[in-house]
Amino acid sequence: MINKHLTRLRQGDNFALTDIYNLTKNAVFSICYSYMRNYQTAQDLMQDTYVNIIKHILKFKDGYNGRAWIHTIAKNLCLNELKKRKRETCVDFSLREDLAGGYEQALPDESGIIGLACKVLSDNELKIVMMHTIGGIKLKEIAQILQSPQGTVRWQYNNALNKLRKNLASIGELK
Amino acid sequence: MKKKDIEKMLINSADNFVPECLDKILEKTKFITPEKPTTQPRQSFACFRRFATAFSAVLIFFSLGVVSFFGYMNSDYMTVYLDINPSIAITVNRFEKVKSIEFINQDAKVLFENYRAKGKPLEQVINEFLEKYLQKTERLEEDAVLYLSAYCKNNSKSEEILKRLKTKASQVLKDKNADIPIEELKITKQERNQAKDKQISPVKLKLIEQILKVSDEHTEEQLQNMSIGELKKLLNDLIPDNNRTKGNN
Repeated sequence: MINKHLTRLRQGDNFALTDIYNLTKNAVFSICYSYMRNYQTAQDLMQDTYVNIIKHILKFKDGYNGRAWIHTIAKNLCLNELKKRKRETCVDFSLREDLAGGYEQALPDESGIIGLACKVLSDNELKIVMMHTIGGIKLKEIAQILQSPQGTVRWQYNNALNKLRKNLASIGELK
Repeated sequence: MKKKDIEKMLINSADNFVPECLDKILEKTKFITPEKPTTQPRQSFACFRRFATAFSAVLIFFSLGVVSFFGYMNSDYMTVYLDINPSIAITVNRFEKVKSIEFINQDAKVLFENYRAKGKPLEQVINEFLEKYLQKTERLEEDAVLYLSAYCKNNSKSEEILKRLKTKASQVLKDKNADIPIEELKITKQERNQAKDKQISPVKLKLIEQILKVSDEHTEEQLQNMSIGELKKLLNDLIPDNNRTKGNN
């Protein structure tokens, strides 16, 4: 399905981008968010992903897995951004009044299950849970994105769900 | 709460969680044109590099194997002695190609001064040796005997070679109308080393030892100066039914 739309886009049909966006937005955003852990940055990188798809569409070949190609673009953008941030000097925004506030956008689901997942889960667990549940990416593909064995990914996913279940149960008890 | 319920909760929250930014994307991509690919895809180069590495590793292993095989096959394998006065020792490799010739006595040195045998097949060298000997010897000794002897770690191999060489040599002698009896002998490592120390052929050493066993009249030095034919004759005189050197091993 995706390959068909990507081929259309390569042939110059710009309306194909809307179809590609509708089919992949969840997966792309989940990848960006799970890597960056910042809603606004993830949103920017999501946009950049689609810009890059248009830029490099001529490199897309018929035999490729279109979905995996898009996921790789999103992942590489995130990794580049993280690398760039490592090189930059850290500034404490709270100490600079001119810069503080107005940038950080809160999660739409801050008090919901996603907010809980962000608090409770480790980096890798959050990536797997986000990509699988929000993005709808198969665990096999997640294993390829994270370059880990499929068994490890499956195990970490179950572990993460157990963690969430325990935390939800303890919250329920408190209430 | 079950795991499935948590999964469902997460999936249901996806719609609220994922932002809608199609308009922004369309705005951004309005003036963007696709870039033409300029470089070769990296994957094919990586594939070629992997193939080249594997191929060179196989090539290195193969060449090492070939080199060690030929090194092994070309090492000294057997020494064949021809005693008829002149006496020579021929060292061959596993391909039965001559590696070197040692002239055991002065006659051999004179007769084969400019002879090049390196790399030639053993049988050819023996043929040439006999032909040259018959050409240069005007009159054959009355008691001339051709002794073919060999030393090899593999006993069965030396037996087989001696048998083959005997057939070849008798053929050559027959063609040249030379009536010379041929006897074959296997040599042990100890005998070979002893003969080397005394600078005589192992066959001569064996004959001398046999003569000294039955006679006190001769000294070892005297016997060393005699030819193989003379020694054989002397031994026959001392032990009329002498047949000991023949097929001794």
